[in-house]
Amino acid sequence: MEVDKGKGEAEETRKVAEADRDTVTLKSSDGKLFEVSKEAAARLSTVLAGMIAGGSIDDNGTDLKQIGSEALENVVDYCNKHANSIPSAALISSSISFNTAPFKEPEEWERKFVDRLSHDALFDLVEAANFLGMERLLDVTCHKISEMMKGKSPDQIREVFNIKNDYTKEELEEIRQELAWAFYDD
Amino acid sequence: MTARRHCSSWADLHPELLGLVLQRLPSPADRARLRAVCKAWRREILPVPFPWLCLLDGTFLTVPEGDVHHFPSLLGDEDDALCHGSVGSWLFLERTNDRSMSLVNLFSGDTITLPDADTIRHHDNDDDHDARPMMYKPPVPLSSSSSPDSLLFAVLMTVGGFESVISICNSAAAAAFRVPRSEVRICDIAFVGGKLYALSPKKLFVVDVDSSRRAGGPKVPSMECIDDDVDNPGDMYKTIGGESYRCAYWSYLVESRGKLLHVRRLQYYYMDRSRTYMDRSRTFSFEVFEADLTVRSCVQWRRVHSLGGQALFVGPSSKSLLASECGARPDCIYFMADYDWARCYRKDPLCDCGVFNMRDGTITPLLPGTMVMRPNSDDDDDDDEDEDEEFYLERVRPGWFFPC
Repeated sequence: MEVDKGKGEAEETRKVAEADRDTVTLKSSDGKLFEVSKEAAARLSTVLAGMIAGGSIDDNGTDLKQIGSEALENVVDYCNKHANSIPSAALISSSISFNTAPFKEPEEWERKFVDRLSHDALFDLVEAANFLGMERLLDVTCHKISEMMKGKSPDQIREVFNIKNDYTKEELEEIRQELAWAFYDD
Repeated sequence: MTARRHCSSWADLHPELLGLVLQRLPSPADRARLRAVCKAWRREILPVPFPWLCLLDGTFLTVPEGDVHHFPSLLGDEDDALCHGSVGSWLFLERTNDRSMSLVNLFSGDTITLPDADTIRHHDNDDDHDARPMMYKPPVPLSSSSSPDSLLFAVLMTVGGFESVISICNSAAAAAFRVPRSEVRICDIAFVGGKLYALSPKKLFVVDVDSSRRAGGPKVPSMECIDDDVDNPGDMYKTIGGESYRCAYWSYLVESRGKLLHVRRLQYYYMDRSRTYMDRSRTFSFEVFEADLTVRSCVQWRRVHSLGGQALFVGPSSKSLLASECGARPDCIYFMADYDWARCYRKDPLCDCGVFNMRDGTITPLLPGTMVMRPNSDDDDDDDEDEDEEFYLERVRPGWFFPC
């Protein structure tokens, strides 16, 4: 355990001081602590925004039992990077016009951010983003996953994502016939 | 990474997240391949995507998410193409510079060329309606040939508001048939059991199409009336809550599970001092009649209150889909403002859209956030801009697009 202070007067003083802090401390399921910009956390995560507004942030580390340390590190890293990046025009314009693309394209740095992740880390990150209500991070991760699937055969997708083929031979043959056009199309 | 740290796997990806990924893969082929990956994904991904709303500018709206898909490259760099609707996942396009017509597959980019607009219409220079706008019903495929060049289509056109032309065309030639003016106009056509049917306000016709492949291209079709007494109550006038409405029917012919359906849409138009406000029409209800075509000389219509688990998507190119396969509600009719003479949809194609449930007669919104208004609800947008409400024909209308 990295931090586990007993309660006392010193603690009280620290708490008062920390009320004005511009970061919040998050604690992963395996007990690791991470600091993240309060402003970015509130802006990017509806769940964290609710916790900050509702005062349920624990200065000793708000427990996020569903999120492992590797995923939480990525979440925090993303929030802090976001806080430091200057939002581009694409991100600011939120109004839907009939001429916009269906989804906002990831920024260059966001692309790089998810490109460097292992598949396991990407999986954990998309689930963490979902759990924390981080719409923008969901956009970015789901975009990346869809890119990894586009135009690939079922075999290739299974290989990329390490998914077991749980169909019987007969079922597979049936599927192949039903979807012949999709397998041999391009 | 050689070993996984925990037991969760991509096959167990939260269904909601799989859905988000899927929204970014609009191609039906990608979707079909994902279904084949593992049993869990097959359970989560429906075999048939829910139809999209095809708006007027090459933009598509998914239902019920309301996501926008835009394919600007299809309409050309200078927006020189008009989209007259879609057939399955093919868009029916007219290039404005040379009036060439084509079907373009949204996903594969494949193109089927059709004769130009004048040839399809069999237009001659002495035509009275030369300058009048023209309305198209997207081509109805009359054969299921694998080679695009030998495909035969029927195109219904409305010229100048009243005259109908049915044209049979392949990629090289067209043969047009001008429906006699005495038959008023053809509301819709449908291809059922190898035959092409056409409906006017009072009559049902079978159109004789010689689809045998031979030199010389398609033959001019002929039309035979097989029912001259289709039930049509005509216009009615009603007063609801002190306000006057004109009530009229709008008809669709739809093929559903091998049957021919006449789908009648009852609309109320707000009237003020004998003036009808087309852009303030509201759909009130639907009635569906199934044709018994076993005795050709004596067609019997039977009112039905169920679609056998199908859902109907009515519009310029109507289609019946098995509700459970595409995530629609069974025995429901999905509709939008597609009437060809009201220009209301120029302002808002969603101004009169909804889902009519045949089981209980209720209408619910098509998209969350849109309102369903029946004529008895308060209608207080009197300060609508009051531009000239002259009878107006719009060449393009919104419709359903079936990405499969």
